[in-house]
Formats: sequence, structure tokens, C-alpha cells
Amino acid sequence: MNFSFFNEYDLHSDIELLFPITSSSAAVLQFIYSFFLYSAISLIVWLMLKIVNSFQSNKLFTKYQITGFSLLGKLIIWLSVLDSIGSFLMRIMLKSKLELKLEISTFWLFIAIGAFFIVLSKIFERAYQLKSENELTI
Amino acid sequence: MPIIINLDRMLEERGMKSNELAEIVGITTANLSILKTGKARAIRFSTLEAICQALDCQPGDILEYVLD
Repeated sequence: MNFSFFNEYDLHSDIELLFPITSSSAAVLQFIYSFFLYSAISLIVWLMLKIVNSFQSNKLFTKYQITGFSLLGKLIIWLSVLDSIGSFLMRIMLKSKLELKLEISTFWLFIAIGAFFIVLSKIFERAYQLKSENELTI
Repeated sequence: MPIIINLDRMLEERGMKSNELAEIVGITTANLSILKTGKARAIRFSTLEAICQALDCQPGDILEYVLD
């Protein structure tokens, strides 16, 4: 496998690759990491679209939405945590550089978004209880 | 729930059918069924008043507290 393109790209560009690809194993690792990362992001986007579509049926505070929001929040939090761990390990393996980044702009922001969705699911759960209570008031 | 609804007994005593009562009270038979089976979480005073008026009884005749 020839990686001259990547090396050339790395040398002549101002853009620094997160993990420079220098060997075939690094390329495979990078590919697997990116594949899982983007699969998880796709799953989150798909789930978000499903929940948004469920609002269009004029049915609010359903079990489906509660579970969806909860799952979405948990997925975002887990993905942020796993991505941070993955990036940390990849830096050690590919850059031989020990670096721990907990940037406000990325990691904590996604944790906050995940927590927001979990809180939203709790609010929807309470609303669902109140709704069913109201429906069972004769 | 320790609150028992004695609607069936009252209906039997008055010789009235569920759908007749539902019509007089102004609720659906489905809602009356929920009330009769004890699945209801709450009852409005207006509904209770209408039932009492239709069955000529007191709220205590319909509702009963039984310790679990």
C-alpha cells in the first residue's frame, strides 16, 4: 500500500491531520475508528429524525418519545465519552503523544446536550403520567 | 385502590342499564366502564353529582372506602 499521498498532504498542507496515516495498520485503525464514530452519529441523527417525525402525528408525550429522548441522550453521552477515550488512545498509539483534551467546545457541550435530552425525557415521562391521569378522570 | 365503586350494585337496585346511565350523565359508555371497573384515577364533582341525580342516591352509596 502506498501512502505517499497522505505524507505529501501532511507535508505540504497547513491542515494538520488529527492522526497522520503513516502505516497500513494506522490506516486500518483510523478507518475502523471513523466507521464506528460515523455509524454512531448516523444512528443518533436517524433516531432524532424518527422522534421529530413522531411529533407530526399530533401525538405528544408518548412512550415512544420518552424512550427515544432517553436513548438519544444516553447515546450522545456515551459517544462523547467513548470518542474522548478513543481519541486519547489513538493519540498514544499513532502520535506517541500523551494528551488529554476536555475542551468546552466539544466534549462538555455534547455531554450537556445528552443531559438535556435525558432531562427532556424525564419531563415527557411526567407529562405522560399527568396526561394519562387526566384521561382517566371521569 | 382502596376506593370501591358500587355503581353496578346501584344500577341493579334501580333496574337501570349502563348505557342509560351514561346517556343521562352525559359520559361515554367507555368512560362509565372505566369508572365501574375501578380503573379511573379521579372523578369530577360534576360527574358525581350527575350520577347521584340520575340514581337518586348519595355519593357514599357509590363510593366506598375499603382498607387494603
